[in-house]
Amino acid sequence: MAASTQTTSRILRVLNDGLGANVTDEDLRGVSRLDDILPLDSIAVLEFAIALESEFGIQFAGEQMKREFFNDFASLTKFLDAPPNPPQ
Amino acid sequence: MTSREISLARQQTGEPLFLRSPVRPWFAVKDLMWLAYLYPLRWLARVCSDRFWFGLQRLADPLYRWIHREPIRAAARRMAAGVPASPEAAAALAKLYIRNALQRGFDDLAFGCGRPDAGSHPPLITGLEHLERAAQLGRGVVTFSVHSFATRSAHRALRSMGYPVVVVRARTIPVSFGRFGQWALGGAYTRCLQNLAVESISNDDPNVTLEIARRLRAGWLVHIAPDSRVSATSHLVPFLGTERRISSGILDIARICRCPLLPLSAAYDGPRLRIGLLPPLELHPAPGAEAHTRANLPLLSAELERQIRANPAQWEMWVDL
Repeated sequence: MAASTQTTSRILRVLNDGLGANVTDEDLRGVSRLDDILPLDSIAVLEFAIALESEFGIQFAGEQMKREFFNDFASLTKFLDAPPNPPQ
Repeated sequence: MTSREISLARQQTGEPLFLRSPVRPWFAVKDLMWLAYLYPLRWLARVCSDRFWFGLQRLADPLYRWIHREPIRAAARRMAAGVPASPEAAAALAKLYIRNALQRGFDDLAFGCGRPDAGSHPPLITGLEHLERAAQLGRGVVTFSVHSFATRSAHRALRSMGYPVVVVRARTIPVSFGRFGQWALGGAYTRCLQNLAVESISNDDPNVTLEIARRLRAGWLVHIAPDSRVSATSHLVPFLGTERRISSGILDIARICRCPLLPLSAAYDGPRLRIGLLPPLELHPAPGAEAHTRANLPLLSAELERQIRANPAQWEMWVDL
């Protein structure tokens, strides 16, 4: 199942508004790894994770707090499409 | 260029994030010392009587000072300028500095072999109420200090009191190792340190900040020493009358995780261990990461300077031992 456009747009908003990146829809099209278009240092990855939690009203579990989880853009968007603890 | 931009650029060019070690000699006297420390002394610590052990510590003191006579002079010069102190006072501080280094070495050996060390004696703790209050916020606590000889014993003492402590530390081989030592003893050195520390997170682990956040959420006390220079987020700041690289990553973690930053100081006081905890740093709110760092880095470096000036002989980084 492909990730929804709405989820991708929300991630884009987090990247641009939360992290001050300058990523466009075009950049994200067909991208499977986030670090291909935007290498994030360890502080930026943490900032990204916390901003995603705030945007999607979730809390990532311990096993998800890995850099690889956030760099794998395809899996991340699929996860955020149907998070296990969705907002009430 | 901001630290984040530098960090991104380094990742893009493949340049290592950490400072390169200077060229090592093939063999260093320190290799022999480390060889003795990691093998015969460790075996001895397991089998000898307490009386023999403390006698050995007293005997080692003049020998250790003789071996380190040049570092003692260098430390005294830097202490005289940085504390500041008179040449006589600085010379006395430098001798105490070397004694503290030796005590840490024996403490670590003792701990690794199940003997009582400074961390296992009832420590003199001030300001524990600040830690309790910070922990009650439910966001975990980041404690920070300069690299001090007694910090490891302080962590062991806090852990024995029931505080879940994890330390962020570098897992690099000291520059004092020669190439032989690096090759033959590097593995044993790393394993030895892992056994001596309370739990640790390596600062070159790509998941380091996410792991820190995970621990904080679970209520851990995460200890970071921002004066290491080996950091991807370091800034050159005025420090002890000169300049030094201080890592600002701790400020980013506090900003993002909204956790308190508690100054912790640890010092040997003869056979006793003193641990001091202060109220959390009152960080200035600022819009954006760079503004936050600019606003708060002076607070951080001032506290680190205060810790060194309060206990100059405890700061292990006057010279590279």
